[in-house]
Amino acid sequence: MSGFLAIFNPGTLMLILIGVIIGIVFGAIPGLSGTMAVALCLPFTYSMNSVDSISMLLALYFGGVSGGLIASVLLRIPGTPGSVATIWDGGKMAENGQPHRALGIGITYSLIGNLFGVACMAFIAPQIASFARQFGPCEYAAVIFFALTLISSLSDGDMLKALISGCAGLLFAMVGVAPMDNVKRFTFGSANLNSGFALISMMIGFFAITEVISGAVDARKGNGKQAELSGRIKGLGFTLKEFVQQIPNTIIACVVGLGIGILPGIGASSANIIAYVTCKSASRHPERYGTGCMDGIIASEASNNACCGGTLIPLISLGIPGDACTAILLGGLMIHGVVPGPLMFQNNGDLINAMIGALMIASILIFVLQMGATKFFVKMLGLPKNILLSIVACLCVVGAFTNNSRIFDVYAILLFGGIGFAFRKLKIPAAPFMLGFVLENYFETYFRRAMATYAGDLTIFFRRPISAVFIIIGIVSMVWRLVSNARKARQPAATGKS
Amino acid sequence: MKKQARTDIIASAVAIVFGAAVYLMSGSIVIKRKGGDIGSAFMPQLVAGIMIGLGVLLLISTLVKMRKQPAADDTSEKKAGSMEWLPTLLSFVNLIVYVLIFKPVGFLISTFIYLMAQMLIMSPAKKPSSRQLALWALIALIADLAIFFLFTKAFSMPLPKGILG
Repeated sequence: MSGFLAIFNPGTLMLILIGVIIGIVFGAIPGLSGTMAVALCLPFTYSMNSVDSISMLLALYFGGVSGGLIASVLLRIPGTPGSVATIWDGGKMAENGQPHRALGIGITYSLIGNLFGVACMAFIAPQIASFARQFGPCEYAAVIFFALTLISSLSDGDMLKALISGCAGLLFAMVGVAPMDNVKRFTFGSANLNSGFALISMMIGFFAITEVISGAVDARKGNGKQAELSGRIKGLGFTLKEFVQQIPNTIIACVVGLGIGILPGIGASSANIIAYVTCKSASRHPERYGTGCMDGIIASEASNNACCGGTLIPLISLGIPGDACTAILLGGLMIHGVVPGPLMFQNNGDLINAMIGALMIASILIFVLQMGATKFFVKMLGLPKNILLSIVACLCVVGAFTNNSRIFDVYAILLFGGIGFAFRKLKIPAAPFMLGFVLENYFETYFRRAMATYAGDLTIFFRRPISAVFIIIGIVSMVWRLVSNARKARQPAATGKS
Repeated sequence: MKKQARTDIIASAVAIVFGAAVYLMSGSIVIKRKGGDIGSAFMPQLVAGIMIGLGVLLLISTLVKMRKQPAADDTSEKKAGSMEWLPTLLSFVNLIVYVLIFKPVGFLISTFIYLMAQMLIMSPAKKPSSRQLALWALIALIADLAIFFLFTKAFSMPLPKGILG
């Protein structure tokens, strides 16, 4: 308890506030992320005590993930890879004239996701971590296989196009050095291609550049978004009845987000899409998804924030960082002589309590700050579209460049912008491409590791219970979706004939 | 229907050609198998093969649909859409130029040029007044300097200085 109370001093609270603000700014600017914010601010924390240091770093991390929703909702450009799925309903709701409501829902469910993740970290971290320890390469590959089968749910009616899009995403992610044997693939002798395409470049190109190019026509016509800002809301943007109705959806999103977060390596960039598709599949009204419904925003925002708490569980329980950001946090802890792992609960119990307290305060501050600034955020949409989109495009180019200080990443946004624009014109959904691109490397790594470990025996995936469950669920749900899609396709034809 | 069928045929053709190209290129990937490992060429070949299959399926289903539902005339749609390509094309060209001069010319100059050009391309007014142009120039300058100092000074992230360096 003393550790929890240690954060309640003005200095620590101020550091959490600063961390949250910087994190939100980094999250809101497309191309920048919470990871960058944590990496940049890490040197400033060297001279602080361990509680102040980790409190500020955690605030930056949570702020970065939560800030991503602002650009996703208002500009239809993901602020971070973790908020891509927010575009599909949050962006649509804003486009339909309800940006306040979209932001209100997103901000509130970010808080719920954050608190859910923190609560799990506080109460069941050791138990969850011991379950996660049962995961070997087979289980990882099976979970990712299951996530890949969800691609068929991301179609806007045309499953074949969704699957083609997913395959294209997988193939583009294969560029560079292959996992396991480090063999170069599709690099054409270019050293820049050895490390493949950066996720940030793909995301900016696919969503931001496509949006700017497509928005040029609207801007010229003068029908920018400022004409659609009539819908003002009170409170959080939703009613108590809606909140109650959304409880099952929220639970699914939080659990999926937490589950993905616990598995090291996958992270919020996949969690939001996987949770979105899972919630859509479980929904009684899947047709509402993508039209600007509350369910879709909750699925994305609750999951990506719950994922943050999830990534911290293997970090503190096992000493395994879940993603790049938690790897930097691990470094931050070790600088202060704290070694995360099973003994951390015994040796540094007070620090864990302080971390939990800092995360709770940071989550509440994020909520208050974002809610307070909603009016200001929405006012930005009132800017003439030719000015707003031009500056956004410029920020995207800068974001892509500063990711690795590599001009090649900026060229890559042009490539993905062109592909994204072609996809839009050919009515091919972008979401499966994103999912395929994000998951390919993880899937191939774990699948090949499993094959190498078990001498190429494919039956191992069915002999291990956890992997068997995920593979069977994946195959069954995919077949079920293919069949129901084929039935739906036949129905209009039959109706037409009668 | 005709337009939809046309886009579907293009999509299927692109999928088949792209899949076939990747499949063929995968043949030159070095194979270094150890134990039960599948090698680095397996996954690209598998996914490319699936992509070709999906492309063929899409092509067949589109052709079947076209047979069942005779094409409607959509020349009016074509006429309306033809002029909309100009700002889109100019925006993309402007972006290409920006990206190409970003490093050699430097952030400050290239961004100012890009912002001015993009604001003009997207301008609702056919002939912006000189006052409007001056306002955009001021906005471009402020945004340019603000982004530069935010990234280089506040975030300590270097941006190309180019000819000003």
